[in-house]
Amino acid sequence: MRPSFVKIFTMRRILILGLLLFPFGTFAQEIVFPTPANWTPDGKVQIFNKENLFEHIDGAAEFYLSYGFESLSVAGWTNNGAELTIEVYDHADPLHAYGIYSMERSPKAEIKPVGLEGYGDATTFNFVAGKYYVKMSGMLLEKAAGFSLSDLAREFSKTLCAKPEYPKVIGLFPKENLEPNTCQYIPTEFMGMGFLGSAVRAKYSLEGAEITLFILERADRAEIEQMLLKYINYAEAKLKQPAEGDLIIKDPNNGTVMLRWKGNYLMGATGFADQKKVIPLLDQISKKL
Amino acid sequence: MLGATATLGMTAQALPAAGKNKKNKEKKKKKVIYRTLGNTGIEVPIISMGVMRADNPNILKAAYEKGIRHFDTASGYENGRNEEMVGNYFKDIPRDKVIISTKIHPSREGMSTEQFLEKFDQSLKRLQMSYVDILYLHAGGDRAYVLDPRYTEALKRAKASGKAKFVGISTHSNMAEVLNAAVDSKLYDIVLTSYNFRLKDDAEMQKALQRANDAGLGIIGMKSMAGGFLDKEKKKPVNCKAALKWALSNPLIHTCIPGITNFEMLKENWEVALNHELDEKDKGDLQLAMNETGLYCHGCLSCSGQCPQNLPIPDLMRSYMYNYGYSYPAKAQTTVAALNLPVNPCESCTGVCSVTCPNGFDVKERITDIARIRFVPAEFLV
Repeated sequence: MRPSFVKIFTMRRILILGLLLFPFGTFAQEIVFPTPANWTPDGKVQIFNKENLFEHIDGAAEFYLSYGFESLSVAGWTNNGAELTIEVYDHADPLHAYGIYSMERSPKAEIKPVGLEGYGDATTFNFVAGKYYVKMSGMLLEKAAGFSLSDLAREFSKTLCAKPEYPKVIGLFPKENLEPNTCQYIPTEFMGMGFLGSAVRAKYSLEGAEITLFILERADRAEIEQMLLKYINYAEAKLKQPAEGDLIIKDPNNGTVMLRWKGNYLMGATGFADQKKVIPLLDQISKKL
Repeated sequence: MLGATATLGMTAQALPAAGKNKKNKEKKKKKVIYRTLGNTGIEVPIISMGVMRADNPNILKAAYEKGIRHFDTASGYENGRNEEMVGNYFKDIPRDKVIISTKIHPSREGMSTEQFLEKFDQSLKRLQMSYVDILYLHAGGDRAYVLDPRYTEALKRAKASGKAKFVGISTHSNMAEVLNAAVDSKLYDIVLTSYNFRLKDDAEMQKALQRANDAGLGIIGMKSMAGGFLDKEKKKPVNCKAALKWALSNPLIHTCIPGITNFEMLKENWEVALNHELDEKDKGDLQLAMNETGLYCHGCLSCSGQCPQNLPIPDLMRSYMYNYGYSYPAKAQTTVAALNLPVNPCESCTGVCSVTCPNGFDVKERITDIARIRFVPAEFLV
């Protein structure tokens, strides 16, 4: 059976469009925004990409780009003088989305089970769900009778990611003595050193001291070995060849750093006065690997 | 490698820094080069630090110990967490030993004078300081924004209250207009502006910098590395040290705030504070970077009027840059659509295009390419 004219026309149109579009830009993944009752959309959804993100958030764009930013969709609504804006940042994967969220989250935030987690107040609500970091803000919300920002956030989060889960590496951190909201993902240049690359860190309070624990996960142990060799060289440590196990580095910039290498993981701590207090924490991580 | 002859003129245009801004004289203290931020009298090393992407307070510590004295943050960086980090580190340093700046960015919808000042108070709280040395209105892009009475009033009040010693405007687009508006306002003390080697032939920018300098404004450079890469695939890195030297070879730029994120970068940038002279390799690398103009139109207008069909070549080259250089097809489409071009603009010309571009652009090829963007539905362009 021959395809109809309409089908041929549609196929040709798609082909032509595809050819035209290829060099011009990338498709933005469409976000299905909520349709809150009694609210009227305020203009079209705005979409920003890596190159023009700075037009929306100015100098902060560079930080977002370092967290694998892909696109930003912004939608607005009005209701009886109240204004609502939702920004959805697509950070390509859940780890990077959690990362940028974790860097902006206040240690004092009261965490709510919205998406993976979120927090907010009367006029703002931020949450992370899957690969999305969502920032909601409102003005004069008291004019929108019966409206709840957190309720809308909860409903919207379900449409973005049905079952958000913490990145596996975050689950490796011991829970005891963990300071709330301090678990953060650093995508590059951990501790200010390019060769260390990405890491997850968290703070612990132990007998009045604040210790930072960190975990670096790599594809294989060879990557960890190369990283350690560079660190040893940088710190001018006497050790020539690192082996799996514990190691102390006298870092010229970050102080004494305790490290433990196990397979494709490197974990460690900074800020401690007594390394004996750190070992049980590292043991807890090691047991989970 | 290009020789010295080929790299002549690589230094940033060093127009005479005369005028009212007498204090802007370069000084060396213990080999570190200092310049003065216009009539503010603030004397700083030519290398300062953009704190924005530094997540480790030990980098701040190392920067301070090396001799950096000016640290730049903003209320919007990391949702205020960046200011907190700056505050946490500098609370133990005598306040008069460092120059701290922050920026307030009104929301897209705008904000009142009171809201601006409330936001500034939150910044001071996060910084754990009773004042900042420089308070910027963040991200000026045109004259109207620079002179917006809501924000100018807020800046005046912040200065009068002593919570801001000096006030400024930051800009990374339409910089010449912003600089000129800042001068005209007679309010701003400092302009923080994008400035890099890609602006080498931007006469309007040079003129605006000179005017601001003559008016006694302090001028701080940012984005001196021009994004850090020459190509959209990010496989051709800029010689960042050379780019920084280039910016500072212009005495109208009093200090720069490279974003420092690691100790190696700190060491490399600080070396420029001791010597900003471009060596032959620096010049060669920058010349090669200049030659890598595949995407960037300098707006020299030398192509203007050359086309036998009277096509607006500068606008078309600019549109090509928007699309491929900045990956901003929507802007490219708007620009091209406003030009009322024929369907096939180069149809009537056969053979070699008579338009010549000093940067070696294949003008006909680019026109043919970018003119098609008119026919792409706008909703498909991101």
